[in-house]
Formats: sequence, structure tokens, C-alpha cells
Amino acid sequence: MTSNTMNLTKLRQNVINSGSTFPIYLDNQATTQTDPRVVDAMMPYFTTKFGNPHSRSHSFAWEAEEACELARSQVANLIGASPKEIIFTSGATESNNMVLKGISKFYGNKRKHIVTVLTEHKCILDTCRHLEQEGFKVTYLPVQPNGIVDLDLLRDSVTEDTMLVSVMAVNNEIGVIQPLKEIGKICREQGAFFHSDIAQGFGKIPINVEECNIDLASISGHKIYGPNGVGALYIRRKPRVRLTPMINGGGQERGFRSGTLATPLVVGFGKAAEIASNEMEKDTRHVKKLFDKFLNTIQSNAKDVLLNGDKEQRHHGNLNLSFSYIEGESMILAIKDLAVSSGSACTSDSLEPSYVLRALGVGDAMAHTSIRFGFGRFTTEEEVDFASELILANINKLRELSPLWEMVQEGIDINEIKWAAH
Amino acid sequence: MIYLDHNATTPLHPDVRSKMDKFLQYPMNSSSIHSYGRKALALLENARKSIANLLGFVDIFRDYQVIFTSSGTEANNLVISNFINDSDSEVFLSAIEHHSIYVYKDYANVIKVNKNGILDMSDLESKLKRSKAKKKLVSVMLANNETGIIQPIKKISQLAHNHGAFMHSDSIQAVGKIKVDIQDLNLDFMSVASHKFGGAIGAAALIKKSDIALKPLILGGGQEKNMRAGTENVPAIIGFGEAASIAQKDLSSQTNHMKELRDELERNLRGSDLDVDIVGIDVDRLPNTSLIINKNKNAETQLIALDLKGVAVSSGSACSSGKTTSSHVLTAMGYEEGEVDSAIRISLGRSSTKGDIEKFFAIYKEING
Repeated sequence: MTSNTMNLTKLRQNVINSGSTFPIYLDNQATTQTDPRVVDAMMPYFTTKFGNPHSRSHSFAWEAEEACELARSQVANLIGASPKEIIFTSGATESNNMVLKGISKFYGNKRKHIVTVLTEHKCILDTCRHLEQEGFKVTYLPVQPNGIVDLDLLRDSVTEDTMLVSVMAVNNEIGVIQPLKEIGKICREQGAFFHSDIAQGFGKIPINVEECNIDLASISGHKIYGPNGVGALYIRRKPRVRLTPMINGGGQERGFRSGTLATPLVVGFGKAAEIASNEMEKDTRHVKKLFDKFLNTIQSNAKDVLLNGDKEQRHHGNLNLSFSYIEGESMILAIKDLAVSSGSACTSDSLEPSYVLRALGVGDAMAHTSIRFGFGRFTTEEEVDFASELILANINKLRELSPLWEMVQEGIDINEIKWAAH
Repeated sequence: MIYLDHNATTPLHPDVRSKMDKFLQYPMNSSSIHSYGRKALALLENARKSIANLLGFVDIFRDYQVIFTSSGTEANNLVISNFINDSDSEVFLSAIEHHSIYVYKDYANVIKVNKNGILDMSDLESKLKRSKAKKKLVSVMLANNETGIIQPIKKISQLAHNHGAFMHSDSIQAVGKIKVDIQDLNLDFMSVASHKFGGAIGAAALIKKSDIALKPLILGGGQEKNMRAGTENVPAIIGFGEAASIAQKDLSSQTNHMKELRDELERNLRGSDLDVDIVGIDVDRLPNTSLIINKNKNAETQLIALDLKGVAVSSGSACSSGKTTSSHVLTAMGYEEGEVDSAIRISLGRSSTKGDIEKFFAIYKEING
């Protein structure tokens, strides 16, 4: 037994002793486990307080409605909004669709231009492409190698014809934080609406819609230890932002979004927001500590492991690494004890390298070897210690299989090699 | 408190709850490739099969596709929006549809119903004949949420198909209460919602024939075979599937249970000296619904009195009961304002008891006597 495997065995035992189970969940950007306190808050609304909050004629309904309104203020408080500015939806994807389509429908005869960024979530990019087919002009801004949008470029792109600027708060794949305040200022100057998909930032970093001049913001419940199937859209009231609804019917959510509110999910979402608000500093310190430890351990013991995205301007629960001289997906296949993702969850079944990493200028080979490690409230130090050791063991093993690594060891600069054409 | 508003929403069935309990805290994104994601995917597909089985089809990919949505309203919007926002299309909907369909009435042909609330087939036929649209959609609900009246959907489908139209039925109130077989009804599209029959709120579905293409309402991550983007609400969908399995097992006994109670209540009401009219009593109805008209006795007043005495009922569809506008359903059936404004809906569930309806009857007599 090598010292490395002995060490791994010990660290595995530590994980088990600490009460965690395998595989270790390190995919907190895809979804988070629901906080037990959230489940406790939700449960009564599934079983005994199950009224339809839109019925107006009995106490079951009033009880449900009251609970939904409390949740609305809990969500609003976290971003400095008023409860009246929060519309509940089924999730951030719906909210994002609702904003892009709804704003375009309502204001499309006045302005025809949308500005967004190449590294946005797929649902933003897909909806923008759909709007292009409907006659809108969309500018897809590049990002700098650190993943942050270039503000000068953005400033130049926003014109009098720009209806909407959509830039996410925290990137789902690489965790970098975009300069929302500065973007908001530029939008205000040009009279364009500023939308931010804050699904990955809400409850994790401080976001204030007033300070950032955000007009619309998309929020998700299941990224903040709340339940799946619920999210929200912030819609500014002063000055009032209007949009054409996407789902029509009973006129719930002040006509913006019809359909019976899922009271237990809404309650759980509110509770999750409240907990996030109380524990944001603690959670931030926790993931930062894990981030530093994990990255230091790996980078001080292995060469050529690169962090994707800016190291400081980020949410430290997200750590996206590229492993040089390791074949494609072999790393992710070798670490079955870790539940991680090789890209954004919704695209991880495709073999295309991540478009986000590509936008950073990461080459296809490096993009293929990238893995996203997502730390969260429930990730323990024992888990991270085991994870880093497991990664290190596999870096060595997999590189021994790589002819490129061998050449590098021999001092050959592989960028200078002229490969023979087949 | 006695709950008699099951058409608005139902409590979670205890077995559904225990099934969901296990998974509520589990990180479940069915698109993730690791074992948590694969487990979520397996549970998701399992639920899809249970729902298919309940609706009478087995092959969920060849015959019909189950597209999970967040609500019945979304499922209805998904299908309707494909025909409303299209200049080549024309939509034919009944005058008694749920708001999530009826909201599109200004962009559609509204088909009349007769005094008994049944679709006027000749009105539909003449409107279909007149239409020159390339694509046509007929949308008629299987059972009405306010009255419980069941439409002859099989015949309506036949008529729609004879005129080259697609057939959609909002079956949200019917599924889980009566036997619904999508192939027998010959539907192209059907909407179903979990929370109307003991499943979790936040999960619903549009069932569509596999060979008919639709455009998604929500674009993005490619979930649900590109028909509905967004991380699936796996825990709620597990609950949806479990509710479907339970309904399949004990549907006939539940139907009988609710019908016995409902019929007894109606016998008592009609045998009393109250001047009541029960909507749709002469036609096929859901076994759990009773819409009671007591002319000129204001519904709001009755509801408040009932609530104070511990009985929860409603005056009609939940999403509109906060509004002061009269029910478009009863108006379409030709009821007068004084009748419409007096109607209260009793809707029973599997947990309803004889004691519940006896108490309701006693209070109803007292406040209207």
C-alpha cells in the first residue's frame, strides 16, 4: 500500500465517522439538498394546512394565503425589495423565459435590442435566439479570460435602442460574480431595463436591487436549500416595469402568473430565504474555508491544475478546475465517490465542451477535463479532505497514462510540436 | 374543521407523503450524471409510467408523451399557446372551460353549452365547417370544476377529428375521480394535475400524442425532451406518480364512496323544505361534486356562515373566488344572476365521511331556512 492509498483509507473512514455518506455530494450548483428546517416548515402545508390560497371562502385558504405572503416578504427581504415586487414562479428557468419574452412583447414596438453575455445560463441564450427569430437584435457580449464581462464593451453596446440588458449575478459553471452595480448604472443611464438571473447568487452573496438598479431578477428555490419546483421573479414597481404574462388563466400573482400557488413549496422557499439571510456570513466563511483548503492542497501537490474564472471575484462555493494532461472525461469517471458535474447540469449529457469555458478562451482539451466542485452549507471538511486526496491520487495515476505528460516531463514544449496530418 | 373543497385542492394522501418524505431532502436534479442525478431520473421515469398506466397507455414514448409542468394552468397554456399565437390556426373552446383556457376566448371560437351544461355539438360542427384554418384545435374539458358535469368527450373528439382538428381535453378535475382512458377518448392532448387527487401540488402534466409536434412555452436546458425547460420538480413528481398508482388501485371503491355520500346529501337537500336546485343532476357528473343553487340566498353570506361553523366550501373555481364577477359557467348554462350568485360548491374527497355531509346539511338548513 502506498502512503497515498493509506491516507485515502484513513480519510474515507473520517468521512464515514463524521456521518456523511458516499458518494459525497459536491454538486451544489445543480441543486442543493433541502435544509431539514425547510422540510419541517413545509410539511404541515402538505398535510394539515393544505388549503388552496386562492380560495377566499374558508380558513384553510386564509391560512395558506397568509403563509404565502410571509414567504413573499422573506424572499423580498433578502434582496431589499418590497413583497409586492415578488412573483412566485416554478423556478428560475421560467422566470428567465418570462422576462425575456414578456418584456419583448410589452416594449418590443419601442425598442428592439437586447444585450446579454455569452456565459449566461442556457435558458437565457435559448430564449434570446428565439427572440432573434421574432425580429429582435441580440448582442452576445464576450467575457474576459477571468469570466467577468468587460464594462467598457458593455457600455458601448447599450444604446438608445436597447430594451433590456440581461447579465447573471453568479455564473453557474465557474462561480464568478459580475459587476452588477456598474452594469445597473449603465442601464439606468441609457434607459434600458436591467435583468439579472440571480439564481446562483441569491442567498449566497449580498444582492440589493436598489443599489444595483436591478429592474428584474430571477430566483430559484432549490439552489438555496429550498424545495424544487419553486422560484420567483422580482419586478420593480418604482419606476414600474411591465411585462406580458406567459401563463394566463385565473389571474393569480397579480395577473403576472396564473396557476395555483404551490403553498408548501412557497413556504419552504420563504424559509430557505430567511435562513440564508440569517446565515449568509457563516455559510460564506464556511465555503471559503473549504475552497481555500481544497485548492491549496491540490495546487501545492500537483502541477498544471487550473482554476477557471476569477479567483477573488466569485462565490467560493464554486470551484471549477481543468486538469492538464488528463484525457477527456477520465477524471470524472475515476472519482465515482464524488458526485460532481462536468458542466452545467442541464447540458452535462452532451459531449460538447462547455460553452462557458470556451467563452473564457479555454481550449477544447482543457474544457473536456474540467470539473465543477460545488461546496455548500452541508459540505464538511472531512468530505473535502477526502475529495482533494482522491483527486491527487488520480491526477498521478491518469497522467502516467498520458503520452503528453511524459513529453512534458522530458522538457518538450508540446505547443511547439508539429503534429503529422493523417 | 370539515373540508369540502376538494376540487380546489386536496390534502396529500398519507402514502404519497411517506413516499415523498424519503426524497424531500435528497439533492435531486435528474439531469446530473452522477448517482444522485441518475436516481432522480429513475424516479422521474417511474412516475411517468404510473401516470401513463392510470390514463390507459403503456408505451410512454411511442404512443403518448407525458410532459411534466408546474401546474395544470401551465399545461393548458402550453397546448393552447401553440394554436393561439399562430396565424394559421384556429381554436374552438367551450363556454364553460377553466380560466386557464377560457382566458383565450377573445382569440377563439366559443362553443355554446345547453341548459344541462353539455356542449352543443351542432354549434361546434357548424363552426368547424366554416373554418378555413390549416390547423384547428378543439379544447373541451372532461369534467367541469364548478358543476362536475362530464362531457361526451369521445363523441366530441370524433367530431373534431372528422374536421381535421386536434382534440385537447382539460381533464384536471376528472383524473383520479373517474376512470379516464386517453385512447378510448381518442385525445391528442390532455392536461392532468397532481394536487386534485391526493398528489403533491407543484406537479402537473400535458399528455400529448407523440407524433404531434408542439413548441415549448419555456425554453432552456432541454429537459422533458425539449418540451419544457427547467429542473424537474422531482419530489413533487414522485408524489404525482404515487397518487396515480393509488388512484389506479382503488378508483372504483373511491368513486363509490364519494358518490354514496354525495347522493345522500342531495337526497336530503331535495327532500327538505328548502327550495334548492342541484346543477346537472340529470346528467353525468363527477361522483364528488354538488353545486347547490338556492335562489337569492347570497353565496358569500352562506360561505361566511359555513366557515364560522367549521365547514370549508367554495362558491366555484378557486382562482376566481376572490373576484366578484359571476361564474361564466353558470351564465353559459342560462342561469339568472340571482341563481348564479347563490351557488355553492360541495366537493368531497377520499377522506370525507358521512358525519361531514350530515354536519354540512344541518348547517346549510339552519342558515338558509
